Amino acid sequence: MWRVLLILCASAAPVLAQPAQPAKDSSVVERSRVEVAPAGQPFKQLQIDNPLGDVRIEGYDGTAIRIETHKHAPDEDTLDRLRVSLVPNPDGTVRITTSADKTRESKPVAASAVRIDLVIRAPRNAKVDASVIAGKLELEGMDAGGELDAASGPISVKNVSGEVWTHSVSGATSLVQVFGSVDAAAISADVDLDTIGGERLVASVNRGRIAGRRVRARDIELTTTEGKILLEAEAALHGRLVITSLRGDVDVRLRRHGPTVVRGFGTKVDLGAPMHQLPGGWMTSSFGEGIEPAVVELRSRYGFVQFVAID
Amino acid sequence: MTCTEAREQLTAYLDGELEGERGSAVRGHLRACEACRQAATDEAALRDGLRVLPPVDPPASLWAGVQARLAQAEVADAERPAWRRALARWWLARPQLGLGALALAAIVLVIAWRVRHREAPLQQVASPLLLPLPLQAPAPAPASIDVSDELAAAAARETASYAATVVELSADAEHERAYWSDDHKQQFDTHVAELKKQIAAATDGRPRQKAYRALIRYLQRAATRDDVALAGSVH
Repeated sequence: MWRVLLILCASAAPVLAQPAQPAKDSSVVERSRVEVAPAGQPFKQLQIDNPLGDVRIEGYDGTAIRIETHKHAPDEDTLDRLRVSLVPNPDGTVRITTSADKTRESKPVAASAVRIDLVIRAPRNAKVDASVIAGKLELEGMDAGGELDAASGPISVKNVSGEVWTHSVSGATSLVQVFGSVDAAAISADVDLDTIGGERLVASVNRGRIAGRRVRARDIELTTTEGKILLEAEAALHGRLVITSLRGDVDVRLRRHGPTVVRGFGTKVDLGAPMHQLPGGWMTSSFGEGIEPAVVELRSRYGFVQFVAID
Repeated sequence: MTCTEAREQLTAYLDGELEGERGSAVRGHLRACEACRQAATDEAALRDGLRVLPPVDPPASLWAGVQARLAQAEVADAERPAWRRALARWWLARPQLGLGALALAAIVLVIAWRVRHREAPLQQVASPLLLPLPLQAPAPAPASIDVSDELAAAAARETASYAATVVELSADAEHERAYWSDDHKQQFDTHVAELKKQIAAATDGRPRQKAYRALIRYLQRAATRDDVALAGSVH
């Protein structure tokens, strides 16, 4: 019963929508707002797929989901083709998808001429699974993490707790104030990490840079094929850092809280302390003494490796 | 090898038609030259993107236009004076010209046979680095592209980018392979084969992209580390 009510509520979108009006660039714009309240159990998960524009998800302390939709099209007929579908399920999952309907009568319109942007306010404890193609994908103020996927659009995650996964082909990824395990992957784009704290941090980039500062995780694993890796981190007790690149330079500054053993391999290695040679061309240095030290492994086959320990 | 030489052989390299030293030379150049590597990636992505564009039927108006032109040509021929039509027939029927045409056709056939024969052995050799990726059959480009077609093509392009990255990282991993023990090589091959199976079994779109990402991460780890857990799990 509550599901029917929710669908009815979603169907009321056109009623709430402002009348279509021509914009300055002779396109038409439609803005609408929908609020969906849980009738039974609270919303646990949001699944959002918007191939036509931006998605911004903001956490708030309420229980309802508020969706603000901005549609842009060159004319009224095309605007009518742009759809936002909202399907709440009894298990607490809400699925929001956008599409451009195609009929035999509809005249062809380029993707660059149409757009749907979504701004979604959701309960903080809902998990988010969102994807875009070329639009911006932003997640802010959520407590249950999520999985974000973009083709060429940038991904931005800010002030989020819980496990976070991001994947991007060519859009830059930025994670700021994330408290939980992070797994960020990009093919041809940079990954920026600022104030990350969790059990595990994994980031990999094929062609692009990884830059991290104020990073603290027990298990850190950063990998690039082509780009530089710059990391300013804090070593957790008995932690493990593996920072590797094939052709990029590796530059790590580590604030340590206990004994630390560093191993480095590269065309030039500077570990910031007297080094001993190991088999296979590896160099090693130790900082402090004690059992179960934190282990740092830095490697670049064709690049420089530099390490600085800050006590 | 210069950039110009590498670019000239890029298509054959991506088709897996270069073997032995020729393939190795192009691979070596791509490893060292970022611009050429980018060109190779772009070309691979473009080809894969073109392969997955949806097929389009030619519009009925196209055939009607062809028929109309044929009819016009027939009418024009019928309206020509009788002496010009007779001259044209005589010209075509001259035996010397017939013999000349025959000789020309024979020369063309011989050249075509030789060219085909020279290319045939190359087509039989495919580089082991080019993994058999699940791609759809080539299709003609649509006459007018709609947003719905573009979205389908964008998803295919995303998958193609992952596929191109797999090719690139496979080359890197193959280079690092020289430093591995036989056990590691075997573990690597087994694990890559398993991940490739998962790619082939995954449905188009996000599931296949996810499978590609697992392979990319594994290959990247294999290419960048000495002691990578070659048979280990990948996130």
